Amino acid sequence: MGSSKNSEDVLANTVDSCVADALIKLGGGLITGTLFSLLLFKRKSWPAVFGVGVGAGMGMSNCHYKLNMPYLVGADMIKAFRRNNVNQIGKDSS
Amino acid sequence: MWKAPVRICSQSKVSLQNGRHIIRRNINSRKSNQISGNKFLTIAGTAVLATVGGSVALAKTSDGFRKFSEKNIPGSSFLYNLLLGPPVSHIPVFTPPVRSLEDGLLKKKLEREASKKTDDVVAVTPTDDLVESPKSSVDSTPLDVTEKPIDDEKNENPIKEDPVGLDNEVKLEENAEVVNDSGSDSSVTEVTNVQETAAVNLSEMSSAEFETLLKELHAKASEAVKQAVDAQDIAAASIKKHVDLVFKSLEKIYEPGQTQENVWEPVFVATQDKNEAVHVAESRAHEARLAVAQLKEAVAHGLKNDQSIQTPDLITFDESVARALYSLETAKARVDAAQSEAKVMDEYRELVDTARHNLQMELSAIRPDLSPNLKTEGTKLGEEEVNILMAHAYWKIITLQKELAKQQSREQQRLKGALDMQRKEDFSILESRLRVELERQYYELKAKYNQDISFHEKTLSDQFTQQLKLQAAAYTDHLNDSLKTQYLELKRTFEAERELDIAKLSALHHEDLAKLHGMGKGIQDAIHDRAEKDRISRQVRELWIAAQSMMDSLRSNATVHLPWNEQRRPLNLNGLNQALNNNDEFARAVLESIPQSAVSQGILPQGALKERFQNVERVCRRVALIDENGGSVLRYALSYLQSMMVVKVDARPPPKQDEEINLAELNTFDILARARYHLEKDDLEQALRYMNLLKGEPQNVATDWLQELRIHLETVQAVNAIISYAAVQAIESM
Repeated sequence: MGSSKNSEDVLANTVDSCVADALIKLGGGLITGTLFSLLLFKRKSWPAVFGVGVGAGMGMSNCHYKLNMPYLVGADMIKAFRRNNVNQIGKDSS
Repeated sequence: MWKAPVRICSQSKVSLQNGRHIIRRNINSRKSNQISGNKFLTIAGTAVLATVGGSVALAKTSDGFRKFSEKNIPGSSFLYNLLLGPPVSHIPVFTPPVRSLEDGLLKKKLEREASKKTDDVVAVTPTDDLVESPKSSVDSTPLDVTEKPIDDEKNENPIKEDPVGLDNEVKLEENAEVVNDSGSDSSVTEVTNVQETAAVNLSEMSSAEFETLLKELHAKASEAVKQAVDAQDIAAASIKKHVDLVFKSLEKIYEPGQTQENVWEPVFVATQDKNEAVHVAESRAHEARLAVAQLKEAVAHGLKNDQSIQTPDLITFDESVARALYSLETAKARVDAAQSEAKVMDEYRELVDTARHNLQMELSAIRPDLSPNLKTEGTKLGEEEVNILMAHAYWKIITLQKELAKQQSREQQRLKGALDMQRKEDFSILESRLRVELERQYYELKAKYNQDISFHEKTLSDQFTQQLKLQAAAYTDHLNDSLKTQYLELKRTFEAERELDIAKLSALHHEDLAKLHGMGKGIQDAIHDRAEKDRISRQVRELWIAAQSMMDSLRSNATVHLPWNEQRRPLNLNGLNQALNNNDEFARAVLESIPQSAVSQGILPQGALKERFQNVERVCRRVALIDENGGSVLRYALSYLQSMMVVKVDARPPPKQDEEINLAELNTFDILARARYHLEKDDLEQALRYMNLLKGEPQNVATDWLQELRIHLETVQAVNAIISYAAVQAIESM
């Protein structure tokens, strides 16, 4: 079913969610753009395209984020050491 | 609303009717059956009655059948008892045969005595015979057998005899006139009864019976004697009375106003009385003599058989026998005296009668017309007649005077002669009395002598028995003492010997036992060790088998029909645990080293891992370009493109032994290829080693798979360790 917890399927799940998200963003952008074009911009096409672009960009950005999420350094990953070894930042094994 | 039920009812009626029809039909048929049934019943009833009646009749006649049927048929006894009465046995009762010999003798004796009695009753002088007969019966020995039983009954009288004898003498002196007219018949029957019931042989009796018989006899004899003496007294008295009456009547008859009947009636009465009394007296005397003779015989028998010690009364009985006889004799003497007086009286009467008769004859010769009775008024006599009468009278008187003178002259002579006779008689009487007295004294002395002897015998025998008892007691005591000492000595010696023997034997026995015990113990220990080893080896083998089976399951491809997802099985350590049995620390430690997730969540078997690797490899190839720093979408797309470009090499064989590999230079594809190769060779460890070299996103992707692989390998390692351990132990315990 859904997302399996296997690590090899994480990527697939991420890509799936990316795509789904991108589609949604696209759709949403399109709709917004169309709406804007219809309502504000006198049925010009450029708001719709702009909206699609915005949607795609957002989707892309989300996807990027999702794909990089395991590598991001979070506060829980940082170990603080004493002054002997100053500012040694190490990643905690994830 | 009611149609349906009505219909039903009607239908049922119909059916009922039908049933009734049917029933009727049945009844009809039953009736016909019943008719024939009646016949059957009657026949059966008659048959039963016939059998019952026949069996009852048969039981009445045949006892055997009755018994048989009572035994086998339960109710028949009740029936028979009801109809026939209780079973009667027809066997004649057995009566012991009567002692014919004694009875015969007894009968003879009875007849003899009865005949004697009848003779005595007829004759008026029976006394001599009576005296002799019992004595003869006493002396006659052939009838001893019958005499003794008769005597037995007399022997019980002696105790009563003494006071009775005394009483009799006293009574005689008082001269009591007791009119006892009880008939002689009872006395006769008494005697016969006495004799008949005494048909018991003396010699067979025991001392107690003898004593009782003696007592009975004594009682009877004393009673008989008493009665005899009484009767004789009565007889004497009545004779006297009769004599007096006759005298009186003879005188009275000349008195005026006395008819003949008046005078002579009391005389007749007295005569009758006298006769009766004499009867009774004689019979009683006879009876008494018999009883005394019996008693005497029994006493003699007892003395002969030396039963005097046992029956101390025997001597007194003896004495009393003598006394009884004496009293009888005296009574008889009295009766004899009375009877002699009666004789005298008779003679006198006769004389008177004859004188009167003569006188009458003479008178009638002179005066035939005179009435015989001179005392009547008489007719007037004429002078001549008076003269004749007077002359006759004168003549008579002169003749009488002459006679008187003659008589007086002869009186002296006659008196002398009478006195002589009297003297002679007296002498004889004296002799007889003396004889009687001597006999009595003889008997008394004898009795006393016997008494003394018996007394002495008794005392001496008692003393003797006492001494004997003392001696016997002393002897037994001595014997007991000696026996006791002997017993103790023997016991001591034997016990000592026995103790020695026992000690020896027990020592030997103990030795053997110890040996055997040692051997047994050794054997037992060896066997236990062996058993222990065997047990351990078995356990170890079990462990090995369990571990081996686990390894097999881990390495198996049994569930390859399922996708690797579903091949996850939780590790079943039950077999291993059982096999371990908590004994083995090493194995336990090893088992505990198995990660808990293996037990709880499960392990993928080898096949599953391989299968999963394929997917992992695919994904790893697609993200091969992304390292630890992460990647953007573009990079992902590029790496995907790259993966499509790179040719998939199936399997790269490992480098040769001495060839070094620069692990840092390996890229994902290399790593994957090598891992794949080793996987296909079932070398999971090498695969794991290579897969650990992955870096970046491929590492992330393979993480889970690596985890599974590690768990698997850990388990495998543990199981291997256990297997080897079990193998080592098995070899050890062999």
